Amino acid sequence: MLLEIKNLSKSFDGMVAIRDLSLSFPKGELRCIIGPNGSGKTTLFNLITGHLTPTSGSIVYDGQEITHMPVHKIAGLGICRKFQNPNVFGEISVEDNLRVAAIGQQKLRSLFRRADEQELNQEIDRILTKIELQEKRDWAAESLSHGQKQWLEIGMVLIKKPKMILLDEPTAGMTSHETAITSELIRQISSETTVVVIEHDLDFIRSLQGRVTVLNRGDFLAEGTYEEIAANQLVRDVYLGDET
Amino acid sequence: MVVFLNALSSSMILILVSLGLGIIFGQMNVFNLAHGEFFMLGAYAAVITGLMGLPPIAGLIFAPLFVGLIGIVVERLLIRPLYARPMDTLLVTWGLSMVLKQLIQLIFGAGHRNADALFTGSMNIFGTEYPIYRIFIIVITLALLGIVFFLYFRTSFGLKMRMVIQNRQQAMAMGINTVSVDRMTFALGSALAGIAGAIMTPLMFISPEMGASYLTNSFIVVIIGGVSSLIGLVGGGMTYGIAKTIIDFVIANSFLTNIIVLLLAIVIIRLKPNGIFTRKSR
Amino acid sequence: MNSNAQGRSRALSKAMPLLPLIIFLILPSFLTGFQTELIAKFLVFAIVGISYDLIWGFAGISNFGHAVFFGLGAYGFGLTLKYVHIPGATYLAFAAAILLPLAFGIFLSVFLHHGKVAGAFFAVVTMCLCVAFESIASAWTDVTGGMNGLYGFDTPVLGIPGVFEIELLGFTVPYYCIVITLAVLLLGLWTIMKRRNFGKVIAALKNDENRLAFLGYNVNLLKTVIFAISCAVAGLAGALYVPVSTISPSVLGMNMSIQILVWVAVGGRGSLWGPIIGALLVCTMEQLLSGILLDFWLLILGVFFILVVMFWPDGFAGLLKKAGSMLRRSRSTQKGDGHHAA
Repeated sequence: MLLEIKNLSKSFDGMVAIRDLSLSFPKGELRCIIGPNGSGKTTLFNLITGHLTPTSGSIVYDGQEITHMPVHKIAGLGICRKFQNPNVFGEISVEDNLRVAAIGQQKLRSLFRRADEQELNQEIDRILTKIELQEKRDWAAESLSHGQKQWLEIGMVLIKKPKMILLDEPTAGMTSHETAITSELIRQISSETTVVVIEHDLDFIRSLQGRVTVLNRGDFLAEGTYEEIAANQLVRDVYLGDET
Repeated sequence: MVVFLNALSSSMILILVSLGLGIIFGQMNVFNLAHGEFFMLGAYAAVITGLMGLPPIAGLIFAPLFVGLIGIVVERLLIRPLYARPMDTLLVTWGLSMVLKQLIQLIFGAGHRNADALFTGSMNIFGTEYPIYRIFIIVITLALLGIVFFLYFRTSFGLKMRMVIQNRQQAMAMGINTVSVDRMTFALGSALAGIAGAIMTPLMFISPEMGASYLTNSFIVVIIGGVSSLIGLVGGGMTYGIAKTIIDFVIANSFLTNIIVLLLAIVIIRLKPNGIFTRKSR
Repeated sequence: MNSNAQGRSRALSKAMPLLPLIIFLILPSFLTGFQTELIAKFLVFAIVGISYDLIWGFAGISNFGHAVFFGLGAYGFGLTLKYVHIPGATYLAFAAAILLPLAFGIFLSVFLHHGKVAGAFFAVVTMCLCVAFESIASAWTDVTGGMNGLYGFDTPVLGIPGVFEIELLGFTVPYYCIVITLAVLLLGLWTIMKRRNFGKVIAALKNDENRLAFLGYNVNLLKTVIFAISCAVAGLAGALYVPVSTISPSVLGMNMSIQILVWVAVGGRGSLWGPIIGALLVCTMEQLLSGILLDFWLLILGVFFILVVMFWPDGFAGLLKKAGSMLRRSRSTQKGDGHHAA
């Protein structure tokens, strides 16, 4: 088990966001977390990455208790997060965005290395191929489409070789064509790392073919394959009346 | 007593100028580096009315209107187009300050001038003789502050200003024309500097360079007093003005005073970038 | 497009930077002594311009008091020569000219950036400091000679004491060569830095420093490193300014700071040649026009500066770059419609 959440609770001034939640994430799995708005999905991510501290409960990652660790330490342990809005460096090239992300955690020395170093270049090429942006490697990141920016940012997360990736609504704002490509991309990624995705788009979730956890109002509701979840009456009740 | 009244009157003027700088910065996130020159323009406006043979009171009325109008033009031509580039706005206002100084120098010459005072003579305050004009300064700046506060807290325009400062997006969504609020705020801030300049004409050498020190000092007041609170600005101005006068009195070397005060201010900025008088929000 | 033409145009673009160097080396033979001295002075200005562009155009830090570092270099140089009378003192003087602004710059950057004073606040604080330094230099007559300037220091002498000596007072051929060499070295340094990872990271810093911090970088450290390099170069330029001018408080004042900023803005911030073009252009114009239109010159400069900032942020260097790429594009096919990163 790579990540274990045990009896996690979080409340803000009396408002309960997460209630006694227990989840397990095995290594190498592709997991989707769904639930209506306000079910606590993003709060869960914030608790895992250390942006928030839980009111009670524990989070154990790779055997280590990370419940109260600061953000940069948790990031250093290999948990990488991609936020909802694309957050790339618009003024520099696609390639350089990846480069800057790659040398982020390295020692100061690497800053003075030549920028066309063999190993790093190969890695960049590999990621560029994965996110299908090789042709646009010299382009300024801001001239990419919204979907391409999202992929670039996913690439920037990937290049750091994280052990676990948290993706917060990666297809928000994407066209259906882009969504399909993203689905393929994420499935490819999950063969290398453990991936947890928060999403609203149910077709997208289905295409990912991963395990699905459903949250509702901070509580655990159900877990299983997409088909099992779709057939689950409790889940249908919760989603009825909610936009899909 | 004399020292106290001097401190008071110079603080009040500084507060007035700083208020102008501060409301612009609080509203639009723009430091107008030509603010000192707006002060200077106000003074020259009073000079112009004096040259036309009008009584000094005319200068006090003409100056804020004149400088306020210039403020509107500047906002329209220079500030608004650079809305997305705040650092470039700083540069442009710096360029403006250069241009204004040169223009005035070309028209009026670089030398010093003098102007007549509205009141002359001295009166008896608590046992000491003190120039009436300085008392007048205190009175009029208090009145102006009162007007600004009234405007800010009691009128619908003031309400709009406060809403835009709080949350620009929301204000826009509620139908407030933020562009015109910005413009009017800029005009108001500039007019405040202008009238301060006009008020100070009898007491200062009027030259194109006269506004420079007011810029640096009001900048410090805005930082110390906090950019989001009018009361903080007043408090900051008071503290700064009094501290300056005391240090000046003790050290009696104006070069050194300025340097010490400046350096102290920078240390304070570093320690409390949000100002000393603002309450922590949320 | 055949590979021959491609190879030729690539060779040409590599040779291009050498052209100005050759021009500068030949120029003195066509100009009077006075004019060449001016060129040298302007090149010193260009060097301080480059140092400013390092923090402004390259790293995106606005600093309105850069003359302080230039001036500290000049005063450091002069003061060392005034009070240290050993053979080889000139080398010490150069060291002082670099170390004094370097130390102050590092202190300032750490003091302010770690206190989260940045952006507009940082800029205006540096402006206040500049005013303060100018006052100090004027008032501290015992040390700095006050408004009259610093005099009475030994002639700076390079070379090996006792074996051969090269005087650096006034304008001389060795002086000219030193200035040119320094300018070339700086341009080389800039080019190398841009190509290394460091350059990319600084470009990212300028774009979005919060995002960079999120990636695990120590943003304050990066800012301080760039600031330190910039101050050291400015100080060196200050030392080189001494042989051809007087050391007076104006060398650290607001007027000088504004000039530096104008040179870089007009020439094109963030570009390799921008500060050089800007300094040479503006100073030459000033020299040519000052006789006729002195009063108007500053006014025109101010208006021009405003226009440049508003409509022409890339300056002259940007213009040249566009012309260059238009030439190149007319010979090859267009690739896609995205714009290329700088």
